[in-house]
Amino acid sequence: MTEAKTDAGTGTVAVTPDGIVVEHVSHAYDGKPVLEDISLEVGSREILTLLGPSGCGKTTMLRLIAGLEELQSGRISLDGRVLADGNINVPPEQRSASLLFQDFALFPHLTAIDNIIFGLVKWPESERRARALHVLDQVGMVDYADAYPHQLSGGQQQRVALARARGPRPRLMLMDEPFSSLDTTLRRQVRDVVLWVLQNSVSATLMVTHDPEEAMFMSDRIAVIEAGRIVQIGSPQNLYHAPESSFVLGFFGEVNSFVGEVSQGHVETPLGPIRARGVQDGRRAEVCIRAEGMRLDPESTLRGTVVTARMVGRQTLLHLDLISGDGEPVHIHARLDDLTAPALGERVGLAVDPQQVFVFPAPLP
Amino acid sequence: MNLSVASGLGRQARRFSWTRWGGPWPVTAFLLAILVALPVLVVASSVFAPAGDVWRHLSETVLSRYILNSAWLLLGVAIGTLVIGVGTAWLVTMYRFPGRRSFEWLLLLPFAMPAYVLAYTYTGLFEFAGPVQAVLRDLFGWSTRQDYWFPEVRSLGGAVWMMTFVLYPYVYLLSRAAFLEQSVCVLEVSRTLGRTRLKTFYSVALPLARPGIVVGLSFALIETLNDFGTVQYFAVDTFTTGIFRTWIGLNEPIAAAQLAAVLMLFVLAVLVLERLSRGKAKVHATSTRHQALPRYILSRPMAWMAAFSCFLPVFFGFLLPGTALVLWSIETGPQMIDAGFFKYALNSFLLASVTAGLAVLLGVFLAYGRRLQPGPVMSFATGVAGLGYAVPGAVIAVGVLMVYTSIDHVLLDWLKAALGITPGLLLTGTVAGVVLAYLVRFLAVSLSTVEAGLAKITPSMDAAARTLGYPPRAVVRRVHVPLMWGSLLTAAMLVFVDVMKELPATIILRPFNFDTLAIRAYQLASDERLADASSASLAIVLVGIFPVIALSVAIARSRAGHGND
Repeated sequence: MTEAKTDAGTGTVAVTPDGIVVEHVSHAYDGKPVLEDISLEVGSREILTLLGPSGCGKTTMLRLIAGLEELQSGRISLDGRVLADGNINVPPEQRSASLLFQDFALFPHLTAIDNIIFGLVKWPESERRARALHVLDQVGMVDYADAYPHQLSGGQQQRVALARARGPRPRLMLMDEPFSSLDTTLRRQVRDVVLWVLQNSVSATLMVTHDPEEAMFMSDRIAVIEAGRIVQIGSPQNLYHAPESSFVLGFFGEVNSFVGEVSQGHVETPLGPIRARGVQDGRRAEVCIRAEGMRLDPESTLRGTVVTARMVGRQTLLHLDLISGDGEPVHIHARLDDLTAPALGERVGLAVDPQQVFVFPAPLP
Repeated sequence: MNLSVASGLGRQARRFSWTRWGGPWPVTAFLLAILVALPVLVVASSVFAPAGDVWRHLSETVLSRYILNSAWLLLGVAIGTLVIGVGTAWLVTMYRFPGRRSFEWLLLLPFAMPAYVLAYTYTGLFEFAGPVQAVLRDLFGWSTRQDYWFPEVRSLGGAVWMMTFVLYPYVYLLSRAAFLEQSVCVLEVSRTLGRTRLKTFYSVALPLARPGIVVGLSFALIETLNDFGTVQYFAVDTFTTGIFRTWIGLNEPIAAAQLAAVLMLFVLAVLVLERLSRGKAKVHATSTRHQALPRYILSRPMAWMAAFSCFLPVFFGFLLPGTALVLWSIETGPQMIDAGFFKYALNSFLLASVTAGLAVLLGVFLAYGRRLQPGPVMSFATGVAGLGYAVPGAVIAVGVLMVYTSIDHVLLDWLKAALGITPGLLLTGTVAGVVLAYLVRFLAVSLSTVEAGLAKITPSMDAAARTLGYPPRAVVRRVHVPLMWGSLLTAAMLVFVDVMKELPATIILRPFNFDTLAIRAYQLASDERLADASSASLAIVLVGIFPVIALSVAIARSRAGHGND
């Protein structure tokens, strides 16, 4: 149970890399593919999130790594030790991977502390109680050590579940939509606790969520999954500033999107012609402009009518009608950092922040 | 997501998955299902056997009477249990009145009374020679039957009365559960939209609770069709008594089986009704947000009226007959409780415990089979295993005799040829046949209880235990056993009590001179020794109280707000 890194400290990559390595994993249920050629690595102390809509196969990935589902193809190894490949299938109880469940999965017949002690089966008897109290303390639940799960609120149950998962000092933490059954306020609090606890441990963490804000809050890196494939993997900043597809872009904020044919390197949009870098003339391109990429500009010739103005958090969300080239009104959204909203019905000048404009090749209609 | 334990049981073996493998589980479960279903299927198929004269004779003479009496009985019990069951459920759920909390469980007590015990007791109390009429005669100076009118206990109406008062708890239990599930919001919406309380009850609460009520009603009606002791004692000719008479009196097994098949049509009709209503039940979740029901406050006289309304069913279904039983037992007990009595009690106890043990074992086997290897075979097997509960005991007994007598004879011939011994009929000539019939009938009780217990152990609990370092067997030992223990005990207890009370199948199948408490009570009552029958009856009732207590405790625990979930 050493927590020290085996890195020799020479700056070179260690022979046996710490953390989880997933290579070319594919999986199908009854012939229907759910994961296709997934490869990723999560280092010790790193938090990686699989982000994708429900049903995209992310939970299956967790179950494969935990050993709850049999690997069909590819290889999974932890700290250089193969957990599953064509020949080996280490049973879940020998993998040192803890799973944190959406429904908490606390044992109803055990108290909070006994739930944690339950997981300390490989620890010497004399240390179990102290360890259990320690992890309970980490999540701020030490006062509830003797409570049964049904006596605890949702957030408290989740914290005990986290303590239970952390108890045996697993090399790998797997978290399946860990906050989805909590309400918004509670979610923020519990998320905070979880992040703090994880940052104070040496395990690698792999989380699954469909909530991009949660992914950005928790993760060092995010892997966006679409229909069983990783479409982009990178830091939250990287994904936000350099999305490689409109699918990824759409995850991180509201987008105004227009599709059109490229001619002379430009696409005609209701916001005027936009340069279509990387898409050939005659092909179709999708132009995506983030709602926060729009700003008011009294000088601009591009004008729109304010339909609705709402204060949302620290921003103002404007619904605007533009008149497109063919005379049809087009509805767009703009998020302004300015809290003084223009009046309804007012015609305002609009400008586009070129940093927030993205052009992707679009499929033929 | 149902693969959690499944993949775990595969252990290290590579490319080995229980889900893809047929395995011994579905095969055994399938055989088990056939074992259970065969008696029922044989009875059903007897419709196609030529019966000839007997059937014509039956249809010309008694068949229409059987049909009419059974139908009237069903109708009467349906109305009676609906009025009492739904009414009391609504009162204790929605109003405050003196004793409300006690009535919540007191209303369940008649569950402990078998209908035939009630019939014997009422007859003892209210017949011409009984204490009630004697007192009336003394008071008013009457001397003969011609001097006054008194309702005849031993009649169709009497049978409806007895069954209503022991079977209404089914309707009460399920409609109460349905009322409790309703969010108070929909009721309040109805009030704000201008309905009165009474109109709200009719137009909102009742329709929402309908699926639950119908399920309760179908249980009550199936038990009505199952009843033998009451109608036999009251000489009300129904299908159940007809089956006996045709089988034992006329010695016409095929015609008896055909009567049994017609009886199953009645059951089928009840089940179809229940399914139809349950099919729509999914729509009836009114709100995810559950708010405790506020209880309406009643004016003083109305509150006492409510208390009195709840008291009546408890009185007629339990207190009155219970008191009579106790008094008679004190009087006749010293003579009746002898060595013979203890032998009957021991027989009852042995039959009930063996059946309960086997039923729980099979229930666990089927429930786990369905969890570990879900698929059409397991669903079929568990479905069939549950079938028997809807089939009246007399029908099952007839089926068991028809199927297993032939198996017995094959077995006998083989034993004679191979070993040169003639042990007699192994299955149908011994208690094995009785236990078999009980299993067919009560397997559903243990199966549903075990399945409910197993459902509380979510797949992610299995997964959590595995990832926390426990191999599959340890998961069963450390998680499943402690969590399932209560459900297994409950299942065993329910089957135990059902066997203690069972009459029709026992009468047909018991070996010669093998008597149980129920049989003893039946025999003494048939000989008009009603007071003498009280000790055996009281013993059955006392045993029957245990599940009622367990039920009330379980309900109190599962109430919203103190749930284990």
